Amino acid sequence: MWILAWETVFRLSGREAYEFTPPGDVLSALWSGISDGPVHAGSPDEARKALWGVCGDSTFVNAVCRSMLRIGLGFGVALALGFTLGFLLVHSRVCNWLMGPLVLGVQSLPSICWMPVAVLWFGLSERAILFVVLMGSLGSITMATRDGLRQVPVTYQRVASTFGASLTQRLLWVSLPAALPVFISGLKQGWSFAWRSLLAGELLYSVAGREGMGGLLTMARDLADYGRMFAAMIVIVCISVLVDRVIFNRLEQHVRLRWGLAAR
Amino acid sequence: MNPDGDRTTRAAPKVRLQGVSKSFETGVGKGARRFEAVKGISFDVHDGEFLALVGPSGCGKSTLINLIAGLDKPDAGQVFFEGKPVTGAGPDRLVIFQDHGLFPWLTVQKNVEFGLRILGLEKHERKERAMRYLQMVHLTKFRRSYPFQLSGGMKQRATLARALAVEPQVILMDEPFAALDPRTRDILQVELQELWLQTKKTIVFVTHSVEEALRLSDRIIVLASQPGRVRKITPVPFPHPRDFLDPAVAEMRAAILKEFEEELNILVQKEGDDDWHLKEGSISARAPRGVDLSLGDGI
Repeated sequence: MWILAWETVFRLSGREAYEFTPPGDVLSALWSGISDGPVHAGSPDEARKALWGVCGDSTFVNAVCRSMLRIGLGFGVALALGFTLGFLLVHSRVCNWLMGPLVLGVQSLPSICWMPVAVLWFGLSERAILFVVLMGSLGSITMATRDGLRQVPVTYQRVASTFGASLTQRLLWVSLPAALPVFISGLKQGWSFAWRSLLAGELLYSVAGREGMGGLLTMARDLADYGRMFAAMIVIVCISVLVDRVIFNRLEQHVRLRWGLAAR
Repeated sequence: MNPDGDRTTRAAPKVRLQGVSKSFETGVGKGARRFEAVKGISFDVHDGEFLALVGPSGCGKSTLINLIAGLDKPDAGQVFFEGKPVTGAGPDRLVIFQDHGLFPWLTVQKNVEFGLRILGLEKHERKERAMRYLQMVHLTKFRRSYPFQLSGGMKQRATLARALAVEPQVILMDEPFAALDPRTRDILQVELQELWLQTKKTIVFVTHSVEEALRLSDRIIVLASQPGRVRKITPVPFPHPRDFLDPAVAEMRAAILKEFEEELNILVQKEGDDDWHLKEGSISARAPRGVDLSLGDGI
């Protein structure tokens, strides 16, 4: 429906395609972006082989893979670090006093502001982008761990104690599962911060030949290729929706329901 | 026969409290003050006895439970369990809390197995024991349900099964049925009594309700409040099930209720003098029924 309206407006406006993109261009760019590469898309005899070719060699799939790899790594490191930090904030007064305000401050700083520093430290490299992704999500994950652990009801701890649970058992069998709902909400937030940071980072410093989704956008801008630009945006939206709405929301919903927190 | 009943002559007490005192900080910062929850409390709990602690809010009932459980340490005096001083919590003295404390992320069966896991039992042994105790509280059908899928009464039953499964020496029940509706409460009282007659566990049972205490227990201790002290110890010699229409039972009920009401009135006056968080006028409106007065049950 919206695509039709878009096409109509384009036709009525009478502008050239480079001023205002018709959806047809975007769709074809989307298709060629997915299917380009060494395989000739659409040629029927190679269609079967193309399936692997598409996955292996197309610009978009490559870019998506590269972006996902970056965010996977950055987010993974953020997860490990953030969890440790959050845990320390809860269990060590000194840590809380020293680092509590710092974490809050770091979280308030838009992570792309780390980019200049990252480039000076790591050069124009993967690591610079990973660093920005890490800084983007670290705060949320730390806070989520801290808040999750802090809101564990006292009764659970007392129940565990009265059964004679050791400190480790209390942590692993009671505190962690009890903190999970809050923690997952924080993960979701951390993910979306990481995703935004990643794209911002890739947009600013796309390494030639190793573009992620952000890099594709920059490249399309340089070539004034509207079709490809919008196509890339659509792919980005799809990934966001997929990960955020489908994966994280479902996970969150499931946990909230199981934990008896969902509105019933 | 001594006033505690004949058991004392035979065995050492299961639990002994000797001049136990405990106070807490209330409020924060400059407004903080010490609040004496219990002061100089001494009593024994005998092996296999069902002991009820009755008193208005703020008389330190929950504090006593936590002290016996070893979740808190007394400021003065000592708590003994089987003749040895209590140094910490352990599965020989299990607490059942009012807000059940079932773990929402575990099924009913896994909840019951929780304590058994800590005891280090093998998987099949855990399952077998869990099933046995779930059967005892009539919850076998719901073993795969999650706590949020259970009614309040079923939750308390699951908690009871979880406690019984580790086969504790003493079960400490902190107003376990207070949050339930009267009908469910009735049913659970009967079930608890059957369980007790079956297992002969030592039970310390905290309640607001004189009737509940009279129905279930061997002895009733009425506590005085602020600070919590022992006001009166009454053995209940009547056989189970108890008939409230029996004149002797009715008389005892009236006598304990009178103690209880007097204690409430003292408390109300104190609260009035103290100007605890109550507004003027609300005291007389709330007091006679014996509902929560300011300090709540955490104390």
